[in-house]
Amino acid sequence: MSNTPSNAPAKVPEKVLGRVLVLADHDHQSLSPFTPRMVSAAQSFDLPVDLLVAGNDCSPVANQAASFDGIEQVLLTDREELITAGAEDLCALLVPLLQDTYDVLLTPANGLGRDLVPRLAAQLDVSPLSDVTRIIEPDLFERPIHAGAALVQIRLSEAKKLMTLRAGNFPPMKLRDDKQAPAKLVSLDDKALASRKSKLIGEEFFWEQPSLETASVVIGVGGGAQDKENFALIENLMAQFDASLGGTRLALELGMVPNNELIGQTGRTIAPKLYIALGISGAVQHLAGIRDAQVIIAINKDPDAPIFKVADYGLVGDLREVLPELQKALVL
Amino acid sequence: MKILVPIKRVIDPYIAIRIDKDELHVVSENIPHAMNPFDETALSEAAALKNALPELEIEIIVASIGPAATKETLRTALAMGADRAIHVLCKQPLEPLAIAKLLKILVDEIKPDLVFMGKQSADGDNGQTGPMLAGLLDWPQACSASSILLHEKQVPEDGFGTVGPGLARLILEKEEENDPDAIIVISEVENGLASRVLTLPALVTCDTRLNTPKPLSLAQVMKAKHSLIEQRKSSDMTTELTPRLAIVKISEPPQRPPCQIFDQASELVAQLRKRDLL
Repeated sequence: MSNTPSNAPAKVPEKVLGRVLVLADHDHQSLSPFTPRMVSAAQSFDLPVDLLVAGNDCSPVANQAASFDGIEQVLLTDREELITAGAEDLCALLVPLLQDTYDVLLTPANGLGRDLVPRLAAQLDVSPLSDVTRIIEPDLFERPIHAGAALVQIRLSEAKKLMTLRAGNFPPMKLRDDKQAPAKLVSLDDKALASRKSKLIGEEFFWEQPSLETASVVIGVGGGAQDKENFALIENLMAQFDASLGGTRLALELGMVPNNELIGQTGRTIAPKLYIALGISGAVQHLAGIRDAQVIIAINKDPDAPIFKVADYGLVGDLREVLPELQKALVL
Repeated sequence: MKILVPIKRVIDPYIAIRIDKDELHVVSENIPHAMNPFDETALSEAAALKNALPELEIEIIVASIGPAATKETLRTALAMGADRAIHVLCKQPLEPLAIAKLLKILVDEIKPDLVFMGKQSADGDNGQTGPMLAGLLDWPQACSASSILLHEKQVPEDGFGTVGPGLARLILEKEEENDPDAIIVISEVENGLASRVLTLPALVTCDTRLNTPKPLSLAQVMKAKHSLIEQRKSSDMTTELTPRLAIVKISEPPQRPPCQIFDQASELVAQLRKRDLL
């Protein structure tokens, strides 16, 4: 194995240092709803918890973070190049932090976490866990496999425990009460970043809605909802429930929802209080994304559709007839 | 240009899995297997780029780590357009970190310009091997690609995702003058799309939405039947492969109560009110 010094696995010290680091998820202006949920998950380790805010012009984010209960310190690194922080930059920042200070790193199982955690883990020569849905003991975790058709409990004995969490599965942390001082702010601006071999050159946002992972009500559309006459009805229903909209692969292919709002194994995984499936038959790949919903309502004209096998409540019928009735009943 | 495509043989993702009585395994004996669909997309993208861009003289090398049956999957890969296939024989299942370490050894030998692979496997759903390999190699990475742009010829008139046509051509013309050392990858992120320029060598993980693999022709399958598959053994490759994770239990997800079907929407609403869900 030819190892150049730059890519040799980093040495991890033996001693137990015992702190948890949570990577804050934010848009440089405010924290996403994932972060307080990760902070609450972090309490399961019975270790002091710190939060890392890495971004550009993001001190308001750090101040917001400092107001959450359960955090000792907020580490802040605020610099222009982090406006497009990717896995490479954050690895350079996190390798020394995990070598010197932290035993546990939690990130959300979103794009950044999924890119970052395996890369970082390989550089530290440890096995990480992806998409953790439950922390059973500080070294025993549960996660789904085979598109959610099975759950596996894994004992992780690595000295450094790195994992991405499905944040929607954990309750949000509460704010500190008035008597408590905010968490201490620590600047990390002197730490070096990686030399860039990849550069973000553009981003395109399709639409704004509360993230599917943290929305309390999600409406999903499938091929059966395609009829244009349904769109206004679906929009009304979204307004009535204050819901975010996602879809199946077929809905995507039919252009009903943007690509990034695909719910399922290859897309987003949701855990809302209420999921309303409209015209969705219930392919295994879609069901993989909705298993953690607390209550599932299915509306489909085919009474034998597999979606009714996982739904809690169902209405069988044409959306054009059922949705107006539902809307009428909701305002009564 | 050399593209390495690591592929994994997995339990056919379209059949229902069965958990072994020991609650530690998913039954895989006598169960149909297939190429991981995400890897199939990666390979199919490499083959499409090879056809579309003859000037890049793309050579596609596929590699798979696993038991003897893995060769079947490599045959399929050859039929799909791979030029070379390497089988690393390994009887025990390996964790993503061990796979990434073995792949690093292959990358150090083959010296590809690009590694394309699935963004995750359809069995473990970890999504780790790609970014791990990039981390071990200290290469740039782009995950969940929905478009991969190697040459200015690929830039459509109206631009490319978030990259306007002017900028995309500029970046890729620069590539033409120097060696091919920059590519553009458009990835799906939570809110939309993100475009990245990567300096080669680089690693790209692919989403199944990147393309739809074409069905194989009989001629392709017949031709691949007699192609050489290079044989290696993981035990001959010097790296540390010990498992780091202990599976304690595999179980089915909790059964949801049977679905309650209502005749009237008003009954559903009443039930939701009762459960304080509105």
